[in-house]
Amino acid sequence: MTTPPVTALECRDIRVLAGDKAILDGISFSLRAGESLMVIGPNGSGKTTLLHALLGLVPVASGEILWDHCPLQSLSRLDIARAAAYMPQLPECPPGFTVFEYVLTARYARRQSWRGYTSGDRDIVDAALALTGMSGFSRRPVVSLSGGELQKILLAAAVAQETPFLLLDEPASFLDYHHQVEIMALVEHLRRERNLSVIMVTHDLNIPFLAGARLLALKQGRTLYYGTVTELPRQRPMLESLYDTPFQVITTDDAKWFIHPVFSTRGEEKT
Amino acid sequence: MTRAAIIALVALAVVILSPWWGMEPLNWSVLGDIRAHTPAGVIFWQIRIPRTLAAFLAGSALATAGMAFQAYFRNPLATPYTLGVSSGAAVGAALAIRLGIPALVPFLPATALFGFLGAMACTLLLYGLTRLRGGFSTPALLLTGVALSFLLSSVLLALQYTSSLHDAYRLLRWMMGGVGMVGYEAVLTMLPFVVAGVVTIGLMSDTLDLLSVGETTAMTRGVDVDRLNRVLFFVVSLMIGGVVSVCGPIGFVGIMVPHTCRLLFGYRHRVLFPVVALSGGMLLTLCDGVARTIIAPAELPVGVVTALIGGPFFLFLVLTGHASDRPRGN
Repeated sequence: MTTPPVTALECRDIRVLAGDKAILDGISFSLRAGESLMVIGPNGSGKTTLLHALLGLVPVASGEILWDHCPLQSLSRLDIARAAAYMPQLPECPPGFTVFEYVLTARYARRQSWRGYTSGDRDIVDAALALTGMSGFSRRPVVSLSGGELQKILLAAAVAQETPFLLLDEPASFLDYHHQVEIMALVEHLRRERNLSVIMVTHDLNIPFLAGARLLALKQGRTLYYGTVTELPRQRPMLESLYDTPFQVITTDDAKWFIHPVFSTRGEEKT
Repeated sequence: MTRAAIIALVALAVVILSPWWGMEPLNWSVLGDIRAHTPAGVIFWQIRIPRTLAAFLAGSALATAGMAFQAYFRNPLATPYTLGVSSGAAVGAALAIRLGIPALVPFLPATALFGFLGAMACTLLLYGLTRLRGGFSTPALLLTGVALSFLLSSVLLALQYTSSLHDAYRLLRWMMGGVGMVGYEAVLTMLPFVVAGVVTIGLMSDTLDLLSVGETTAMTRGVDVDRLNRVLFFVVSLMIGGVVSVCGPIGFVGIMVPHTCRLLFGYRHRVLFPVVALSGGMLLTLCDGVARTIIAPAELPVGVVTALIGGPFFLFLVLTGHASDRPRGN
């Protein structure tokens, strides 16, 4: 509890292998507290593996991951859990646990082991549930939730973990538009309010508030592009090569932009 | 927790009353005969009290070990008994009996040491298979347990078949599971195993919560899963080795008790664990009471009684879908 929060993350030329095949190769970036990163790329390009590597869930074959200048392998699981919270894309869903009990386990790294979870921990869980609009669900079994509700619970748990870094793997993938907007607004609120660093894997190129964030585009485990989200409208060729799909950038009168893939019927494709 | 306090009081009452329950009626005067000069005194102080203590300790250990296995395998039917770990301990202990191995460590009978080693070998095998497969569905897990149990049963039979008549009978009685043949010595043999195991598992309560959520979740929230697995397997093997070497393999306590307690007290191990440990002791003490009176003047091995109650319970869980398919994800 007394250790100061982690303020920097650096990833130096990392390589992750599965057998002989490199899932990630030569990935580098660095973030200071409050800076965010958006990770894009086609399915199977290594986005989730990157998050797993940052958390020490998969071994890094070469290169270095430094949390506050400390190499990842010198950190304990507790150290990592105090630096970064992870919201997985496919949650592990415990039968029997209530929503409250589930979110409470996010306080594991912050609890005092001999006392267990205190009333302070419980208050933080209540606050996180209130923040995500899930207070009314706290006594419901986790298995009874819909996909959208489950994602909000996962976000509540990540918030309750109280880490300076938030690693989100497609946080809105199962949500309808209403909930998507809600979750994204919440993430932005947290980022500003608590000066969090958000690392978000997403397929949505039009998340407005991530405009100031860095952008990492992965293709087949390699960095195709590393820059900022602001430059995205000028990166149409990069996006087209990234997704092997034609894109269209629409700029509105008030200088907002939208990027969309171009839909074409089979047989009518033009270059 | 008032309900937990009630459980504790009932458990205490069962332990206090159990020695008075039996074929031979006793009256209060035996309390004064602590040196056991009369036959009633011998029955009370030398037979029934150690027997009650042994049943309570063994039940406690079996229930707690079952709870830990269910959290680890994320499966309500996983217990050291259903997965063949108890059989491993039995083979270890039977080998020690058959080969007449002397105690290698002071104050630790060879049966307990070899029981522990047998349990440990089976646990490591299960762990390795789980890793190799990247997860186990309920049927696969149970079938592995069944296969392991069959395999080890035939080893046990072979050991028994090649034994002298006296050893063979001793092995047979012990394999049925019972707390009847024990005295204080047996209680003292089990005590360190059971206390060490139950206390360690109790201290891991919050960690077991996370483990029962899922391995990835546990890791990202601060659990050193590899270390936890090693500790968990070691203490479960220790408990099962200690208990089985004295009482033989006793089944179903590790399923019935944690399952019922979860229905009443929820899934948080900090709340669940003391209740499971107490109720396990209570259940086996009660079953032993039934075992020694139901066909008086003869008595049943307590393992037969737990199986008669636990078998249908197990089937109930399977048929009502409580044993939902939940493989260990990676």
